[in-house]
Amino acid sequence: MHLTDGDLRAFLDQELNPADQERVNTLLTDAAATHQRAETLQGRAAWVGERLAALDPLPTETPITMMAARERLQQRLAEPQKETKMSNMRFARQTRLPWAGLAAVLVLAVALAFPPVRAAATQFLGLFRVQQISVVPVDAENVEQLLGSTSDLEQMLTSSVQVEVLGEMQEVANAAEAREASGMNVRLPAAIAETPQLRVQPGAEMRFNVDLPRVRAVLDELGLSEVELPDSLHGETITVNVSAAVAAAYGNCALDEVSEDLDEINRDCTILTQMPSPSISAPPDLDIAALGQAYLQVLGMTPEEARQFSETTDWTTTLVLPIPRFDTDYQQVTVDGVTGTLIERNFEDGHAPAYLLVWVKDGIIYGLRGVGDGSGPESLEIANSLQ
Amino acid sequence: MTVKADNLSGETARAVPNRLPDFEAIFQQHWGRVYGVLFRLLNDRDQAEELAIEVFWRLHRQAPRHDDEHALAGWLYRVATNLGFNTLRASKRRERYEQAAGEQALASAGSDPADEAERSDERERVRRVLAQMNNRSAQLLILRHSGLSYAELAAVLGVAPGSIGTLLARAEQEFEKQYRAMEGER
Repeated sequence: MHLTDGDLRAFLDQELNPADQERVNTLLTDAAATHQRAETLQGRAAWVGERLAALDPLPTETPITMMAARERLQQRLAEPQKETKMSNMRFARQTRLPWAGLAAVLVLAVALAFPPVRAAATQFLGLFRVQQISVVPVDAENVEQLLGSTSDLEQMLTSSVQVEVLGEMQEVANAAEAREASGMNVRLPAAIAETPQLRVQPGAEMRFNVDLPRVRAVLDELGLSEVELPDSLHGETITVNVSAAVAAAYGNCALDEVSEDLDEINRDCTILTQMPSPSISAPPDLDIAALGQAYLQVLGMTPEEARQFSETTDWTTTLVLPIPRFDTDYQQVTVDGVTGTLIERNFEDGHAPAYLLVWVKDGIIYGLRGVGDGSGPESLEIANSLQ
Repeated sequence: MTVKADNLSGETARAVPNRLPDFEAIFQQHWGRVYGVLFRLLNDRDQAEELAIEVFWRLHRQAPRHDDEHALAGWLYRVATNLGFNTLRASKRRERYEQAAGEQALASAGSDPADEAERSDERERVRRVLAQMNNRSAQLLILRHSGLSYAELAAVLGVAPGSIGTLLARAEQEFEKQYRAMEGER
């Protein structure tokens, strides 16, 4: 209702009919309250602005000139791109595999290709395909120390492993583009209305050329000399194929951080990653269980513990994820119609807990990570709404 | 691309094409503001410069898809604030800078020591308040104070521009509440 001067004058003189008198009175009261609220908001905004001004750079804290900054950027761009040493990458990630989301699967696939886990013979008929996931709590520092104790390991990896990246990373606009770029049926959660940032990470093929004397030397150094490897392995090549993965980021997160630690995840960021199972060629006559036992011993199990665990594990279909022994809990949950694993990490420094929910369905590995204990309905609701 | 592992230990030169034709204009437009945002987060000139360059390095290497300038700004400031918050968390700078803020400001300014001490106290207090708030609210206040428009803020946070006013009002209210509570403790 628009009030003319005449209306107001009449109102002031109480000359309007009772209904209009009441209506004008309400409007003026509401307007006064609204005006008061606006003043409060304005005052608070100014007050907060004055406080925040304390953070502004002082004259002595201004940055280098734009030209100098551009020059520094140019120098940085001209620098050769630094790649991570294969061995370093493995050691570093070993301590935080669950928190790196499914990008870690790629690294783990390398670990599985490593002789203590798998070796190859002349014919590659047996294939490794992830159908389920088991977790093994490990003392990460001990593992790192053990693997770092052998100088031959690094030499062997650097001289014997070839990595071929199949394509380039792409940011895409929607699930259809992600499907086209990745070659798999990309599922997104209906429970989140927000449009995600989507990134397709390229697949890779890793080849490990077996130098048996060197492998045996590394095993000796690791205290695993009892692992028997057939002589026929020498000179053979193990191939690990990792398909393209799709990461969908919701909330306040940058896709550049998708493959980083869950420790670093933003409070308002949830990331869903999906990728087809990696495959590893393996000879049909290989004693997979024995190699699995060796792998578990590297992860810190006693020979007896490793034997017991290995006996109940199908090493051709099970992805064994090492998780930090301390500050980490895990449990099996029903998710997306299958059994998955919910890993929760608590931090001593006051960070909110972070979770990683992993499951395998129809040959696709899914990982959902976010902040919270993950046991609430939200994470499962998201996971169960994939379509 | 095939990379042999023994070459990974060195440095692999790989030219990455810049897919943004207007990169120079974007750099000129946003450099100062990206630095400002990072400085306000980190309270460290060198670190802020380094991360600001990192932001533009990432932009150059992997230009994001963007339909308009707000979407691009959203990407830039999202990456900047995420890098800033990650750096704070990773190095536990939050606490360290809260303790060191005064000393640094005093050391870096040559004017009246009393004024500078007061300013550094205020800076420390504000940083402490922001550290107690949730990331998104703190991020929103810093970005708005750094001059981002509602459309840019919406792109950073991935929300509708129409909700920014509400979020800002809430964040300011939370800031005031925390600040006054901290004042009461003194």
